[in-house]
Amino acid sequence: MELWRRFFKFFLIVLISAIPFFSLKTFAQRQIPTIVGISVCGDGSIDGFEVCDGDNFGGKTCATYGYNRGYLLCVDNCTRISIERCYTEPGGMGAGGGGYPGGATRPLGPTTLIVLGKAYPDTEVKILKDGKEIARVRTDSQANFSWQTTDITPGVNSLSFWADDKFGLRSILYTLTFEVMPNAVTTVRGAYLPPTIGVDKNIVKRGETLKIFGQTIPEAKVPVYIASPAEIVQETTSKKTGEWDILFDTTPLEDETMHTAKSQFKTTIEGSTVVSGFSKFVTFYVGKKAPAGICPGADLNQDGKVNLIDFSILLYYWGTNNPCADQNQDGIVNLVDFSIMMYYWTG
Amino acid sequence: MKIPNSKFQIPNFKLKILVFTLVFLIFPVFVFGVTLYLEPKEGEYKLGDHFGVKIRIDPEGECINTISVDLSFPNDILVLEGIDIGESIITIWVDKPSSFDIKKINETGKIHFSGGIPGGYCGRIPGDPGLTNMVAELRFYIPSMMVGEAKEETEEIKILENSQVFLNDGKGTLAKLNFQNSKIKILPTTGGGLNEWREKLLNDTSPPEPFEIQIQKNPAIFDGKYFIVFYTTDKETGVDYYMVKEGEREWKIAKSPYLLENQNLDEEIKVKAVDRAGNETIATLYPEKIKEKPKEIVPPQKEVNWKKIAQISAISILVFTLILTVLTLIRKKLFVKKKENNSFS
Repeated sequence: MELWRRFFKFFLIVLISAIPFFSLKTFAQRQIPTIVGISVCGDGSIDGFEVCDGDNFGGKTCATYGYNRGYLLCVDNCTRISIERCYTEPGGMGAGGGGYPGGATRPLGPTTLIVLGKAYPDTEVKILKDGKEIARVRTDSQANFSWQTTDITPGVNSLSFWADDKFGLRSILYTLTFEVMPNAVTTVRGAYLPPTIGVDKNIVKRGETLKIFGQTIPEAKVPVYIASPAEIVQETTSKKTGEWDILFDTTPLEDETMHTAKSQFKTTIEGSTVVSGFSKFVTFYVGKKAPAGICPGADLNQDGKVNLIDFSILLYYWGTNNPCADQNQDGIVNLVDFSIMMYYWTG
Repeated sequence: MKIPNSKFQIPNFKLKILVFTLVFLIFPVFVFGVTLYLEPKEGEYKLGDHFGVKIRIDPEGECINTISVDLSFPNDILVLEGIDIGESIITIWVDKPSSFDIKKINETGKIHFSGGIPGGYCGRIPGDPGLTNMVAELRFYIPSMMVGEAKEETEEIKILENSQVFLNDGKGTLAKLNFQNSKIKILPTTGGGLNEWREKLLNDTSPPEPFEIQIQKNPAIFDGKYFIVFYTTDKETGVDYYMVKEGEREWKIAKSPYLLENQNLDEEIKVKAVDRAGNETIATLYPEKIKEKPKEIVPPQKEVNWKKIAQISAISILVFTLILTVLTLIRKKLFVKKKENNSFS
């Protein structure tokens, strides 16, 4: 009996102790921004923003719309049900569900990819496929962009996006890896570039004010995270033009040390709270003299781009201690330096 | 709870809960992290069977950009047939075994590859119809003729501890890694099902994606000599290798960056990307010198004036007919005259 009591007591302790673990994991999962989503128009399944797909109208027929004959059509890449083929006939026998009459098969369309996203107002977004630039699109005054192509091979594709803001600051390379379905329209929504970020001074004396600024979507909240032993967060709101800035007092920061800052945006889109990923981190030195950096940002040939040429130079120096290719200055050019290059890639 | 030979005691039940709570609060740090796993986790096969093992990655909420995988497999009972990277999330490869390396891999029982994803990979996007987290698929074959007595065996394909994954944070931070290996049970009976890899190779008729060759010169590398860079992808079975041809020289197996033999840049350069099924895509580059080379001066060819030819021909025929008629008449006249002379005589 004593043994059972002890066992029960132990089980209870384990159960109670496990609660924080589960809650912590749930909390951690909530922190991951899930703003991007994919829907495939042409796979027969209604998903994402779709209201219909092929002959699947989710149980709706012309009768749902008050007609007694005809059939429904699924249009606008599965985002709208058209009733133009529905009609009413006196004594009509009943309305069809939808799709092509007489059991005809829907013709196979081209493999199409549509990307809808946000960057910065009135800028140019560069689009990369598998690391190579393939297109450029302009954003509108609300920072929206859309891009469509049929020149895409079905299968796993890696699409990346980046843009320069009005200050000339470059965004991170935002990459989405997903499967493109053949003969269907794959729509990616929520390709939102995080804010750009820059500082007015690379070296500040402790106690001086540092201006941290950048651009993002209009009228969004922009929390800025400054790394120090305890992370400092300061929040601002972007203007109608997407510009944002904060004046940061460097007194709490450690002297003669390199520090970093990053930002993201928070806003409400179509009733949902949207949190972007983190921006590129910007570095600044608090103290008198900052250590000199060689070939910063993995731009090994210093042409303003990080692409296959820089990768070739990195491979050439692989295993050596070339100071330019050795991005983290640990004395060897290896996968760590390659990882830094992947972060700064522009195509 | 008493700890032997110690004065330390946990006095009451509340404190015990506190201790366990603290333990479990720290626990998630060890549980979270990127998982590199093999699929299937377990498999049962027969002699002569062909099967695939997928290497997948779950970033578990992290964003990663570089993957380096080292694997070992029991090369005494398994034969590696091929490596499928067509559906890989890796776009830029640092190390990638080609079909030429398969023999060596089978001798050692070890495979290594590494590469990255520009901008990083943060996990499966909601709504994505695929899992889209594959690094590569290894295709194995179990020889039906095995040395020694056939018996049931359980072996493991292992991800080695030196495998690495880096976070997409611009600092090259190493991710905490969890591994999941694949157990394979081999039954001492003869199987020999469908060879999916061979079928895939036969069905792959799509060549690698079109690409461009870039000619470069940088004082920092190859002693400032001209070199070319090239890269492409293949969505079916993956790019196997590249070949380079300069002018009339032979095709050579090559890797990017490639130092050009002809530094005069007066010959065309061709790069051929070959996928695992043998499909090819060729990119051609005409260096600036060829572009600037003046075109051969070809004397302008006169247009054939058929009208004039017809006119000349008609006139010629007319003249010829006229001459012939005149000659015939003269001959006839001469003949008549001769006949008259003969009759007089």
